[in-house]
Amino acid sequence: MAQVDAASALFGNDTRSAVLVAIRLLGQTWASELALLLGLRLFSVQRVLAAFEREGVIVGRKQGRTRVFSLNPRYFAAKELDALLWKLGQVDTGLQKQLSATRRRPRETGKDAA
Amino acid sequence: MITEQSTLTDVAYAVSTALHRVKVTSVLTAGSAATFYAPEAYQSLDLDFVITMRGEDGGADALRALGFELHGQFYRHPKTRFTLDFPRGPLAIGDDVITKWSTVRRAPELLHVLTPTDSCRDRLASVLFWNDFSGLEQALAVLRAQRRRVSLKVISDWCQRERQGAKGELFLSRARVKRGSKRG
Repeated sequence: MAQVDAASALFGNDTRSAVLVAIRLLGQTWASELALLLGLRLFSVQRVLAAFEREGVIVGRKQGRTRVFSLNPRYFAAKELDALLWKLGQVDTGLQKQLSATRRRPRETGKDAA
Repeated sequence: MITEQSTLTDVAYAVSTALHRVKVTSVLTAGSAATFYAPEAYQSLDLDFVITMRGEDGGADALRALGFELHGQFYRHPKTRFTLDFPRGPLAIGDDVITKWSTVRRAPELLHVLTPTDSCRDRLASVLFWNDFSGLEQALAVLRAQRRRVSLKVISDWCQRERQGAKGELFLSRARVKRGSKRG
């Protein structure tokens, strides 16, 4: 589980905070990726994502069979929330290391995974 | 000679030297350059060389003489798991075209490779452009291994030019903490 100590009270609990900060750092992500990176159960992440979506904090859209989430740019305090989450992510080196567990940059077709 | 025990560095020297002898200049880049500088922290399985000067036959015969065969667009060798790729140039990191690199020697071999600073920038590009945090950790690994040879100012200026100052600060703040704690 990520640290996100400074944020844990702000967003309700550790899981909600870690998910929100991770979405900010990753830009776009999906439930199974978050569950893997944060060491959380998929169901827990899906529940948190659904709650944030209902609250208008994040938005989801379909890409193939996957629902991809990002911060909602039309949230009334989008700019302020964006800056706060970035700052929380910047000081949370533990979370940054967790997010490094998967490769997100493109890989040329035919290259072996390394 | 490439054997089953050859490390990525061994293969890199062998390939770069063989190409150099036929007047082909190839620069080791991407994850393989990071592995060259920080082998304990990051292990790439493919060697990416960008050709900056091409001889008459492009070096294909030299690679065959080393035992590499072209499979699709990658070169494979029967005795090593490391593969070779020659991505299309120019050698660049973001908007910066790279015209200077390190040339290191291990007699009688030589290897052209991104400088430690550019290897950091190259890995950091993954964070700047793809939000790929594995690149952040790899850049920090190169920094830790080559601390004296990495210019944080060059990296900071580049992040600003790429309009990615905030993401660059993820790297720079952790880099400065490590440097500070060293002095303290």
